[in-house]
Amino acid sequence: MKKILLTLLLLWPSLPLQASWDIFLPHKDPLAKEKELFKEGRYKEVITRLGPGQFQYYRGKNLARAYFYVGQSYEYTDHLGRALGLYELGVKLFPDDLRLVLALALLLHRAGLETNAKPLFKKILLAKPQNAEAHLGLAEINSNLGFLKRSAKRYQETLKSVPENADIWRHYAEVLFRLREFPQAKVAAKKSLSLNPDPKTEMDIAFIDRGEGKLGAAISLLNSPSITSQYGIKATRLKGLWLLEDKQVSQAISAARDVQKTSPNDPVAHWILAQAALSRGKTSKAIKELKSIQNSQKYSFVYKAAQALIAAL
Amino acid sequence: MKKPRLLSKILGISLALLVSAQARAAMDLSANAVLRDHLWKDLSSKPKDQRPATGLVLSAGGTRASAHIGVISVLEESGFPIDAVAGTSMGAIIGSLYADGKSPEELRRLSLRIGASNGSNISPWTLIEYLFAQKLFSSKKLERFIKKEIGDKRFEQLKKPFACVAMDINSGEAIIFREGRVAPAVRASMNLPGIFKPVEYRHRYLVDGAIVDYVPVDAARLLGAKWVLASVTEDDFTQARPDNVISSMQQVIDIRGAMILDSQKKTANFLIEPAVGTVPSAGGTSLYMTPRPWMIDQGALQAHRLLHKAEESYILFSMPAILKGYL
Repeated sequence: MKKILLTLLLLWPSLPLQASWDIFLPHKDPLAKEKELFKEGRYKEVITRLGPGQFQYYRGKNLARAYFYVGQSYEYTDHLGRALGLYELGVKLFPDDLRLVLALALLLHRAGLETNAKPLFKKILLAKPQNAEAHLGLAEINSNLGFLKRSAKRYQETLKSVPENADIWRHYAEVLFRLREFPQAKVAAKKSLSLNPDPKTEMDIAFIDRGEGKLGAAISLLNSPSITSQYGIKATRLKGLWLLEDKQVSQAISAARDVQKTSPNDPVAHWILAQAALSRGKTSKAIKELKSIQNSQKYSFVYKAAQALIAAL
Repeated sequence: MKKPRLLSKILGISLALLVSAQARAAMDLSANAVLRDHLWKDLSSKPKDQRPATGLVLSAGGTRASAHIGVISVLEESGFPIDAVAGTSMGAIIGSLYADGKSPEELRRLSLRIGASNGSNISPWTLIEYLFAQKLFSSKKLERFIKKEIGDKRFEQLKKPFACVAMDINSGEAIIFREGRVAPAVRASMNLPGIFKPVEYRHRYLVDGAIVDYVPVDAARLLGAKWVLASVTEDDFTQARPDNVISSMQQVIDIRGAMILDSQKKTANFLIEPAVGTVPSAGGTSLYMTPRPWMIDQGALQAHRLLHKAEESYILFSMPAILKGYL
């Protein structure tokens, strides 16, 4: 004990003032100020206070916290590269600090580095099997990788912990839609809608109805005021295409004309009119419409499709 | 009490970030997207005989070729129609299992089991024989593995038309198998020369097809495919540092494959090239370095990124068939 005290006394002058007093204040949080600044969203000040020279004064959990606060502050100030570097170093030093692991996983995921983020989320789940963020991260990664069934399972796990989040229900519905599991997708989308009325979710339901073969219901939804006000001509031209699928050619033409009132050169409107003309045997009219799809959209799929259809005619 | 509150706030923010990050990728209502969706719905719902037949080609590439499983997974789950399958070497193994109806999950599980123990007779003793008595290994176990998984089936008994390619070591010809027993043909397709004894099958001595047909688009065409999507797992030679007999031999095969690769790739209608080029085909003294899940993920990632482009390519190719529905 005497030796420790002696060592401390010898070291005393070499320690910075604040840090030296902290030794005698074991209950005081050495990162209290940084934590406060962080909570207040004063991220630049957090970064300044926890500059590279400051890290040497922290040990153990406090050092891990310092990495976390600075990493987060860099993230919120859009210095993602720096945040990534800090998290990586932090995780290397503190591989069991789940907060750092989660922060790194989330950032990697945001950067699209899915295969790097995935094992980190899995690591979190090993320690905390119910962690909603990790389940959600894996749900999104699997969705981005195209592993839809696995994604759906992860969404189910997430929703056990966060059952009242409309966005998560909507994303879950989208994955089920892509899996062509339309009835379940509709249940999830309606749950999302009940939590938060959103035209995007209504649009999803319209797509689900169409997927189920209920074109009439889908088209009706596209006519709803919330969708038309949110999507404008995008909803109208979609309606035109779906009306063609439903063999309602006159109504499809009418929808295309509505689009053209706002956007005379809309390529999809030209396509609708061309397809309608073909169904009525008017090939030259169809070619004229297809040729109206301008060269300025030369590299677009619509232009290429129009050219391919002209060639096929 | 303060700490948990802050933590939950941070986690809440991260949850919101996660959710909002994906919200940007919600339904795409751009002109290109809605027209593609409209035409794709029409085309993909047509009966097989009313649209051009599609072929999936799985290249050689040893361990790297496990990325094909990710590609298959994305195509399957998105409902992309695949009418025929062709593969060489590791592509033949995966292709045969897929053509027999194995799901992407089963393929993933099986691929992670493929190793020296179930693909060859490599053991300390046979290795000594190989090194000192110049006695080649046998790939008989691979044939057994295929038989165990799909049975001793003939090509015509598979759920999808399938072909695989081997090379006749006496003539240098590419031999495309699309009839007869599947297991010996697949074994021949993955039969590394210089490592394994040539497989004697149907009056020929056969070795790995990667030397002459790395991306067997021609085999898919023989099966009737009009539009061909090729998944290619090309080697990145600049990164390779072969340090044993097997990896050196595999490297030579990959270089030989690369010489024909460019011209073969041009014959496919659409390419998916997962970023696994830096992975060695084989490692250590084992013939098959067991595929790692991340390689499969790389295949899925690339396929997912290119899925809509692949749909567009197939739509443009199929426009005459689509037109018939309009008239």
